[in-house]
Amino acid sequence: MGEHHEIVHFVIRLGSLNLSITNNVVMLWLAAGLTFLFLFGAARLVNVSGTGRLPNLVESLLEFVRENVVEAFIGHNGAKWLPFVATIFFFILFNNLLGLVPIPGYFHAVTSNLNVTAALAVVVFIVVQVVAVIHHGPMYYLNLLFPKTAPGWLRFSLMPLIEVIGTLARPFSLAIRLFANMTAGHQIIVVLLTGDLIGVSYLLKQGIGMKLLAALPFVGVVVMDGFEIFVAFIQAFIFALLTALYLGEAMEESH
Amino acid sequence: MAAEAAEAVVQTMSAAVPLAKLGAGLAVGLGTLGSGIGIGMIFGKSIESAARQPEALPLVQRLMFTGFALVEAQALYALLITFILLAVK
Repeated sequence: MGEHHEIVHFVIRLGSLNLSITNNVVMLWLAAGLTFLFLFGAARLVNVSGTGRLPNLVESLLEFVRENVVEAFIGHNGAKWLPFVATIFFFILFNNLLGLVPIPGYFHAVTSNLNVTAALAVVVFIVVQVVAVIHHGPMYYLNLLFPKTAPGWLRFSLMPLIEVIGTLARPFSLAIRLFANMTAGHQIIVVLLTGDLIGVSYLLKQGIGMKLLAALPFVGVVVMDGFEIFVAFIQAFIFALLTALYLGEAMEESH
Repeated sequence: MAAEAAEAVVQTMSAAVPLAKLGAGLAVGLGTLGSGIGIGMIFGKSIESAARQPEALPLVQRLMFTGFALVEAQALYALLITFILLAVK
């Protein structure tokens, strides 16, 4: 497997805690900075001149997030959750897209690291639990583990186990879905490129007719790169969608 | 001298490695079966419903991409097991 080598810039160790500044950390800062500049820059431009190209782009993306993610799943309370969901969407989107920059050895998708996606999933999990407890009170866990809609014999024997597994499976699935999508895409590109290099080195040793075909093996990589852009958008959208779904579920009145 | 050089290069593997590699191949192979069927059904039914009622296309498209990502995740859980098994030494 092609692991991304960690380049440590600046070592910070506190006992057994390793907080060194590595290239992963720099990539995360870069994505966070891009998200900040993208969104706040558009807001500043709208304040200054009323319209512009960047604000139009940001507004169309935010409208997409608001309509398809927040409104669809949270409904009436939705407006105050748009910043959180939109930040998650743009942060993951920029992290995914930064992995497509072809500077070798340094630029890679930080979201292809299970630690990063697990951290994001844990943040979402904690936020959802806190929101549920604030909205329903501590009775939330009672109603979750022993749901009123289950018949009595199931309600106290099997449902707690099912509900616990179901609730704990959500952050796991969020983390693994994003991690595996990013890793798999880049692995396919690596495998294709390795095969391409072997093929191209063979073709270049042949006559001039074969030499002209040497560019063809890279068409597959270009197509996969295009697909990776699509996957970057989809995965960011799905993560934000599921966040909004879990938040909506935590805040609903019934159940 | 050549034998010593050759011995220095040969790495030892534990007895579980061949089984792990077999498992890795089976994991992703069998895992993508269900996901393939699921994705085919999702897109088929989305296309069918969009053809029946073209004004429902935006809604159908949104649900289609949602369903696609959720079903694809199942195949990627299997791929994760493959990665874990390939790392067995």
